[in-house]
Amino acid sequence: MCNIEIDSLVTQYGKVVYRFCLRLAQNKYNADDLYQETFLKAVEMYNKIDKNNNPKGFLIAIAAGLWKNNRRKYERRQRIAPEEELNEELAYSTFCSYSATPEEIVILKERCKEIRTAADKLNDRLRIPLYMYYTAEMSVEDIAKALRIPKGTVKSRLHKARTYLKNTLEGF
Amino acid sequence: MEKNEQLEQLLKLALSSTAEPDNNINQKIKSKINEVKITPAVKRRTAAILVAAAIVIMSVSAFAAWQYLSPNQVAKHLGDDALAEAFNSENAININKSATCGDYIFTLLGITSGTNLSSIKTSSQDMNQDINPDKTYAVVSIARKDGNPLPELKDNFYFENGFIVTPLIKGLNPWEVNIFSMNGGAIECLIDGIIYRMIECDSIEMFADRGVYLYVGTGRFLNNSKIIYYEETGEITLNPDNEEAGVLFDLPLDKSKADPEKAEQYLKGLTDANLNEEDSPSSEVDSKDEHNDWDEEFDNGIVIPESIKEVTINEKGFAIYEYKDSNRKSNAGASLDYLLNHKFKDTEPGVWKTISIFGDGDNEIAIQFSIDENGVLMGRAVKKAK
Repeated sequence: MCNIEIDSLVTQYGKVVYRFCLRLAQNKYNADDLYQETFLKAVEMYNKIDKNNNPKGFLIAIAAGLWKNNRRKYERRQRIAPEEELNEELAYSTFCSYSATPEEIVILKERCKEIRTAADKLNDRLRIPLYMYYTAEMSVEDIAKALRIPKGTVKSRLHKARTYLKNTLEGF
Repeated sequence: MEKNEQLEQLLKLALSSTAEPDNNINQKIKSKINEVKITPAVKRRTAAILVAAAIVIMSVSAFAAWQYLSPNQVAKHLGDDALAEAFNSENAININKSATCGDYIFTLLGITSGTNLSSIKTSSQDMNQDINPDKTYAVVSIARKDGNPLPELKDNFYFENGFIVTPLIKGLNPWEVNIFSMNGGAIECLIDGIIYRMIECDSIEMFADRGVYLYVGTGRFLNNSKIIYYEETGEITLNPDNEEAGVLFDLPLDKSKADPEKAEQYLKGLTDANLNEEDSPSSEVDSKDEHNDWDEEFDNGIVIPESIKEVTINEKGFAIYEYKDSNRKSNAGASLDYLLNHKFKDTEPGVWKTISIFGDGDNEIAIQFSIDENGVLMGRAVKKAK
């Protein structure tokens, strides 16, 4: 893979990698840094990237690796405006009918916030596969490859994370 | 909608994101990628020679005016103005003491302790603010002895070679009381080829009457190959057989600031926290999982025949195994007590269990231990199957 192709990876997978970085790093400042480092690392590892073999998974795996290696550095930095956006479009299509009341939307937003806060408290062993699955929309198989662990382990970690998050939601 | 389906949708909604990277970040990345692209290999070699020559000339002329940044300057550079002020206050101790070991010169620049000194809030602070509001900050520099600059902080070098800076307290087990257990963290920068690392941890002033050290060295973890802890006297010394670079500074703390009562209370808190962690079902599950993961990962691995040998047990009851091939060397170890009472408890003789993994990607190698039918602890290296 040449640099022009890596350049195109930024265009093609930049958004998904950034979203994953943002979830992991919990704030924009660190996410920007992690995102940049991910692609610069990808340049160094260009000979290992196969554009026909899930480059998204490869990039996400780089981001996760960098995060694990530099977590203390990132955690040490100031937390700037935690990201709390709600994917409104998806929210409406998923949960809200046109008759959804403002109160219902507020409750939904609160629940999402609770989930994000609880997810941030999980250890990286559960958090990373969770964000790979829900944020980066990777399959269990791709997560297993990215983290170099068996598929069964990915499933069990996702199950544990889901159970934990479910238990944090009052009355769910 | 069923409950599980609803939860699934809710998780997707909560954890998905519509955020996008700023355009200028993408532009920055792309231009950096292009910088790499337009540099042909031959030119890079020439450039490297020129840089090397420049460094030699510069280091000769720079020695006369050699000066590390002060803790105040480092804090400022790291964007922590409040802490920079604190390093200028009378409570701060400016030390500027260097020690050379291996390829490095480690310099302890200064230290300060107090409440709310930093303008940067960390997650560990968020969690511990009410319990341990007093923090200690120390600044060290790490320079190469030969005067060559250390690589950029994002360089691969740091993936394989880390540095550790940790306070250690005389009379307290360093494996239990160190920067990791004391809610510590670190931030660093590279200026003129020198690393400046600032560490933060719960205040060490309360231990001033006991004697406090600061260990600075290569590697990411502390173990008994780096330092020796004498339980009888409480002394902590460098291990003379340490193959890595490491130095131990005596911290000149003001003994009048010691608070033995608070220290006892703090240590009790640490012990309770450790016990809670050990007792928590999630930690047990996680740790079992980790080991199962390791063993599963290397299930079909290729055993390196020449690596099979008896594990050495040192005088402190630590089992050590060394693996070497033409390119690399790795030491794996664990306390015999842990191996016999946890790792191999209820395990049939001859079953191999993974103790550690090193290497990267397809080159990963697991170091595995096994107890044979004669009770002898054996070690071997297993290459990951492709």
